[in-house]
Amino acid sequence: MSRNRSINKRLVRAWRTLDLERAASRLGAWFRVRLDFEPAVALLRRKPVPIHRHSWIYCLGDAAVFLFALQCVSGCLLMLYYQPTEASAHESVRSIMTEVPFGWLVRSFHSWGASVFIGTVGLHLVTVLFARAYRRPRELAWVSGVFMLAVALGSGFSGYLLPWNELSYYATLVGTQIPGTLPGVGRFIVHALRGGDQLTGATITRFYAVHVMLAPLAMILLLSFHVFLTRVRGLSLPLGMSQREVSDRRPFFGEFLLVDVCVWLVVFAAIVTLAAFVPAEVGVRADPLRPAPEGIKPEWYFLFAFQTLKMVPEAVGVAFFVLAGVFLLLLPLIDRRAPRGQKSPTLTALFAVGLVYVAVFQILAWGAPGVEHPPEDPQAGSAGMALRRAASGAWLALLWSVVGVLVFYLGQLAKENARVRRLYRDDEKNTSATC
Amino acid sequence: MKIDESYVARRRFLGGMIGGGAGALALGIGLPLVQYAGNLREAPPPPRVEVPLADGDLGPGRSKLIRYGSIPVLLFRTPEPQSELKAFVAVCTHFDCTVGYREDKNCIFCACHEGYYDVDGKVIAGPPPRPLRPVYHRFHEGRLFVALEKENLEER
Repeated sequence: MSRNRSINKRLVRAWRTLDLERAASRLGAWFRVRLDFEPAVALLRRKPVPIHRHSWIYCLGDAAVFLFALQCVSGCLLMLYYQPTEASAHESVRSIMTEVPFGWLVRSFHSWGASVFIGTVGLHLVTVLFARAYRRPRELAWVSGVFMLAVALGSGFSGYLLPWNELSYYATLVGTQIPGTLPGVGRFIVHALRGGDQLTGATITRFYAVHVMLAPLAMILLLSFHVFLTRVRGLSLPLGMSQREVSDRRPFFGEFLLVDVCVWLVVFAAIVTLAAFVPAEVGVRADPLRPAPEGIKPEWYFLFAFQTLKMVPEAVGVAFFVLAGVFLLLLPLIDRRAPRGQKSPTLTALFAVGLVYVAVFQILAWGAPGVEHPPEDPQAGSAGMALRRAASGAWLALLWSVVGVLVFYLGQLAKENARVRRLYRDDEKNTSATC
Repeated sequence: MKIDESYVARRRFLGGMIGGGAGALALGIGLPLVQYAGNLREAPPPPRVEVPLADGDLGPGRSKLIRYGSIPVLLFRTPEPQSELKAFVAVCTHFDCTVGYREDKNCIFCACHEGYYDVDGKVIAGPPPRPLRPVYHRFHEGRLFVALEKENLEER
């Protein structure tokens, strides 16, 4: 009896000495001696996030980074099966959707993820515009951001062609034709984009290279610079907000990152849900010898531009978009008032007009009748399909509950960490007062 | 500074819930992705394959490699006098290289690590651990069929 108890005691003691935190800290020390990453960590830590009534906007940039990472991962997975040739591009996408285990989910995730990524980037841009966060000393962060927007749109555009279906074929044909109206260099740009005068297998190879290598590489370089600047310069307050309105400054690690992770989890689960219920289409194989079907449309984030080019002469439209791009790029120089702490009402009005223009043209293009889609799955509506729906519904419910648990407890952890930080801070205040 | 005694316990509980949730999520995402990347679907080889024959093909001492689904198959006819058509899965049992027939030595040879099999697929020399897998063949109305299982040739 007593012997048993002593064994139990020993077991309990052994369990208590098995301290994961201590093991982790020893491992960390081992690497610290060899790598000396303290300065890098110190730089990463340098991002106290101001807490005020609009502090949700600080989540947007981080969410965009997360979504970019998701695109990289799901894109790498698609590269395992996709074949970038004219003969097999469409067939390989079809096989990913129908034959490869979970291929439909991975491809639909990549497709929806792209949309959510562009949407998040757009929202990030709009909040930065209205907060005038591009003002001195953050001009370089803004400029790198505008370049990243271009890279993101280029990624979307080049990825759209890869399934080589009717829609993507004609959307790319029209899209690559647009720079042709530029005086002088127009023909050359069209030729360089397509790898020839026509849209062929050479175009797929080019677009594939851009989509899987050049664009991500450019994005990673620009993103590193962009994130580095937010650490060097910190986060800005929206113009017009005084320091008094800031209730707290949260450290990035331990508190704000936890909130970020909650947002990421919800975004991830939302994309999975969208992908499960509305899978990406395979479409009809592109055939250059067949006339274009009616109602060809580009990806949704180009719809307003597409609608504009429909309604005005092409040269005017192209000139307008080039000017808009230059305006965005030079905005920190154009806005002379923001560095002095004043909001220019003209610019606010201009941003609002721009937003309304995009929204109206977007809706106009959306409302226009699209291409008649062929039925994707002949078994749609059958019992097997209903069963598959129900099964994926059950899995989604499970996913959302796990995400719910994680979000709840991550929130608790963030609160706990904030409480401890305040305790320490108050403690320091008290001791310094008595000294 | 005063911290509740329950702080450490609470911290452990939080860590457990978050770690457990993250583990469940990682498992839920990881398992499908492993299946996706591993492409775990069996594409069974065809029951039988017809060998396209040209003039002078597979004469005594001649050989040819054909595809049986995705499997390479070696067909050859041993030299006179006991000329006989033989067929084997042309995958070396050592490290999966494709083997070939050598007329000069009347044997099957794998160049990767110098493995030798006799015309019945048995190992004569070199590192291969097992004999070659035989492939069955049958002439039917002047056409040559091969199959991995003998019964797949019969009812034709």
